[in-house]
Amino acid sequence: MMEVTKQVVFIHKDEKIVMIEITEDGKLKYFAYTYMTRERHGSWVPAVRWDNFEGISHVEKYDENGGLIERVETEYRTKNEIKQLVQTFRKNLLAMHLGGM
Amino acid sequence: MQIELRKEYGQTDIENLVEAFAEKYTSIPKLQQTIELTKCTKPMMVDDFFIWKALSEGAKYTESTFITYAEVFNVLTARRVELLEYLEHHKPASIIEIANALNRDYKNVYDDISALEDAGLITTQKKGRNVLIQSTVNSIIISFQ
Repeated sequence: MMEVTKQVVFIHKDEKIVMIEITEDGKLKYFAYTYMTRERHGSWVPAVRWDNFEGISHVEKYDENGGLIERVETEYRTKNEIKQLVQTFRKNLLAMHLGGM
Repeated sequence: MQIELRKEYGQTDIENLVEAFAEKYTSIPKLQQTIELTKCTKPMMVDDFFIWKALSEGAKYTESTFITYAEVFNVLTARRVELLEYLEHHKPASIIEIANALNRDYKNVYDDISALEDAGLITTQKKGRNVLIQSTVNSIIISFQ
């Protein structure tokens, strides 16, 4: 049985984490955990994103316009670990080296 | 304090979601082509692709929103909670229909819908001259941690 779960965690009114998981018979097939910020004009843009698109677990950083600035492979972290990480470091994540985390 | 807004999608909700994806992206192969070209600038489109594909293959869908700051009550006013409850039980085709059913002013309902949509608690989808308005919430749980 395939299941899609989407969790949105607001850590501030202008910052949220969107966490998508797709499982099949309990096995995680796809994940994407995206830390997003709301810009002045009201739209949400990704800031940091962990996902396994194309089968490889990696983390990406985006600029304030939502353009990709960095993409590095990383080990899989659970959504609770990512939630903890984002809640602790928030926008400082953009200045951190996340590849080894 | 934590507020959990949760929705378990039934078959009709999933069909509406799939229909909304089809209107937005035309077809799954077309969306796949698009994300291969734009994955670096529109990562949320990748999520839409995988969600749409899984739902088309019969997946279950659950959506939850967690909020830990009290300002959310600026969004969740009594009137807006009433509006969310109405949307859970009805499928209105327009804002006027909602305003009439709730005996409220059109402009106020319009503003409430905009605020709830901005907070991700409802979705709107144009269908010809009508707007399909759906709640993304069917329970609100407030817990003190």
